[in-house]
Amino acid sequence: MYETVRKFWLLGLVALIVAAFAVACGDDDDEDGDDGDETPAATEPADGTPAGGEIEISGVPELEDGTLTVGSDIAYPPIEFIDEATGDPAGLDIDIANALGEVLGVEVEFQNTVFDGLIQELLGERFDIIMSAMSVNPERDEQVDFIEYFNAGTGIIVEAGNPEGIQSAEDLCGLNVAAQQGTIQVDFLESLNETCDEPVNILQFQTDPEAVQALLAGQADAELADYPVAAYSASQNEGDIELVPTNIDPGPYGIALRPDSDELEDVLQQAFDQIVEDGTYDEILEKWNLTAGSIES
Amino acid sequence: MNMVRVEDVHKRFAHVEVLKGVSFDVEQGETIVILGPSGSGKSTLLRLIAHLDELDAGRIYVDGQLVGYREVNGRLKALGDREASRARAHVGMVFQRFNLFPHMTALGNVAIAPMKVRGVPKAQALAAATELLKQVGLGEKLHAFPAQLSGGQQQRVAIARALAMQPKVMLFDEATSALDPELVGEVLEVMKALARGGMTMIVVTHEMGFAREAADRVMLMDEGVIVEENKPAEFFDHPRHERTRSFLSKIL
Amino acid sequence: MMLLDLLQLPILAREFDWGTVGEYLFRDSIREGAWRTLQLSVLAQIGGIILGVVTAVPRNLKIPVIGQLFGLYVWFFRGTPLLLQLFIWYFALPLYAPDEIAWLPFYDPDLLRLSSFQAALIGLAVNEGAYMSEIMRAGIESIETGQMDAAKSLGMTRLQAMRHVILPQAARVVVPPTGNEFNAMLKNSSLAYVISYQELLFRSRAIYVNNFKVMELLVVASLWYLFFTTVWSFIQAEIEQSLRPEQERGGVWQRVRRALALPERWTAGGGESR
Repeated sequence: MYETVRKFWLLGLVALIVAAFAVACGDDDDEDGDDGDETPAATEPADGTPAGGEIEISGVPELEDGTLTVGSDIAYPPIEFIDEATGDPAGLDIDIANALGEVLGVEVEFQNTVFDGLIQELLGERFDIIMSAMSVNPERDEQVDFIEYFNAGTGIIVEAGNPEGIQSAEDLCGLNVAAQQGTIQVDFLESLNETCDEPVNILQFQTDPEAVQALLAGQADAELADYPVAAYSASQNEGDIELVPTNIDPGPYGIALRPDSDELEDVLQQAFDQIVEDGTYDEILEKWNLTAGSIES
Repeated sequence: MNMVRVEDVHKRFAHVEVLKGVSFDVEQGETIVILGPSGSGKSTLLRLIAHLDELDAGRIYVDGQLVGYREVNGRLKALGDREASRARAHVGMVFQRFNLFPHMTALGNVAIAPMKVRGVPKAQALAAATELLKQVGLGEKLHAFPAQLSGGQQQRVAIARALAMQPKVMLFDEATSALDPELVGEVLEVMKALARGGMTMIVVTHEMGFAREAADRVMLMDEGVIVEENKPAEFFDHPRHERTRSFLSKIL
Repeated sequence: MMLLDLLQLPILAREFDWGTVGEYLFRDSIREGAWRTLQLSVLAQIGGIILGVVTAVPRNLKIPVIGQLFGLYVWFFRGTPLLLQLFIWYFALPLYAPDEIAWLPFYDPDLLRLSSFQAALIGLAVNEGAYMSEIMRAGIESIETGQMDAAKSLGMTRLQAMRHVILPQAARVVVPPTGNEFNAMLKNSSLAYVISYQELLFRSRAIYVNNFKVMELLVVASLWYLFFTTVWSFIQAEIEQSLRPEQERGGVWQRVRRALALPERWTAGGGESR
């Protein structure tokens, strides 16, 4: 009797191990660094555009596979986010990336990953470029190269009715202010603290929506994010949150590339110049109500 | 005046009826020995008298008090935890496996209940406990832990512990069955002394010698009923029932 | 740290910068973070133990109403992820708390707006309490029924029996699993970073989001966690040993082995005579 019991346990264990392997190996095939949120093939060459594009990409190693892989933390509407209706990534960065892909005649593939991992993963060649509303700053500049493509500043959102009467950055002193950990907003608040009489209590969260939650829950009196994102959060929570009409320290977003991706940088810059010239860039900005952040202004 | 009255008691565990209508009385000062094969319900009966379990039918009285219930206008109302606990203190029980508290010394074991249940001041409780332990012959082992005592010594501590609450009745549930043969004697001596001293005792045991010597009456239980009851001499020498005879022939 | 550079296995694709590890290992912000991790863990564990004992007894004694209520508590807090619970304490509580409750005059919604520390402490303690409750319950049940019988026959109420007889014995039984729970707590406390509590992991991340030395800073954090858990292993082993005075204490190496649960053959010497 005991022999049968033991056999059952053994069989069960074996079955479990086999199943575990099956799941693990199965996932590996489409794993490849993303977590299931990537667009399979987000772009087709538009009608009229020759399949090969107008810019020579044969010398670009990253594009040899016909795909431009983009790393992004797709939780930052309206710059990048997952469209509820379609389940696909959408937003300013997605549209610009797709436009660039079209010009170069390659497919564009987005990989969703946590913000703080982005530069590591880029340097580790998990993807070709980063487009994730990444602000250009000196520390980042040391590790990667940038192609500037948009101008954003920092926006402040507060409880509807603005009970603390916040008009500008200085008014934040002595209050609880939320922001996403690792963003320039945190750096901004830390340097603001040096000039404050009463320090800002900086609450840092892992995604911007969580920081907004802190504002909604009353844990924070104000939330800081890139201006377009702040504006979007306010519009999504009309009645609960309002945007303070002040754009602080505008600075550029950059497409990040590995320092040795010279060829890619070259063709991307060319492609970017082209979409600016032919008006595609302006169209995209208009679509997202972000004309104010145009790189040209 | 009877100390213990058992009236038509029934007890069922799951679908097995273990006690099928047991009735008897025990006078004050009497020592009753209950014999019987395993499964006859002897231990269950003791547990019911000690109110460690609830009966299904019948009544048990200890010193005139109904065990486990209060009678209100002819209806039975179960006793609350506090009242029930107070009543249990009047029935002392000694278990086959001793059940000493391993984290207390012998002294601690004996003194704890008077202190915590009756609020006896510590010094007094310890003094009384020391006395009791001396009486059972363990004056040298006051500060020993149960793990450091032999089986016979542990059981004697258990007896002292039960006596510390000054019970009206002492129940012994196969008190020597778990002991090595050479240790049995010392425990039986204590039990005999108690009996001689006038304690009302109900003893479940296999020790026929004790039954003959110390019992006022001997009962045979089998399959949930009392088969025969008599004075020891009569019981052993002139058993009336067939079952008694066959039981005795198996053990003697 | 130069020596450690020699540990660069030639097969690694990228250079690991031990220099950075050395640079940040004892930085003020990291040490503060480590201290806060320790504080949070100890306080939360104590809270969890208290909650565990208090909720286990009524469940074990099957006291009506409270027993079942506590059962629900255990079910919910063991059945949902800790991360989720932290979010609820910090975000959901102030968000959904009613502005006023008619029949509760001294109710102030601001009281339900927990700070990061408060939410982390309460969240971790309440979660731990559910696990401790099960451990305590198992501990109580492991005490043989004869003990309760003896206590009752001496006139103790069930609660008195618990207090003087059952719980002291159960305490000895639950020391090993409780010790393991604290080990887990030291690491679970890191989850508090998501509600902006600036413990060790938060501080490590704050550094690497600026200098991008992600792995190096995570190694810094790991070293601190290892330090805490290793010290605890020794303390736990000593506690367990003191509850077993009859067992041979053994030499230093035996204690190391016991603390780290290493197999017999790994440490030579110490000459165990058993």
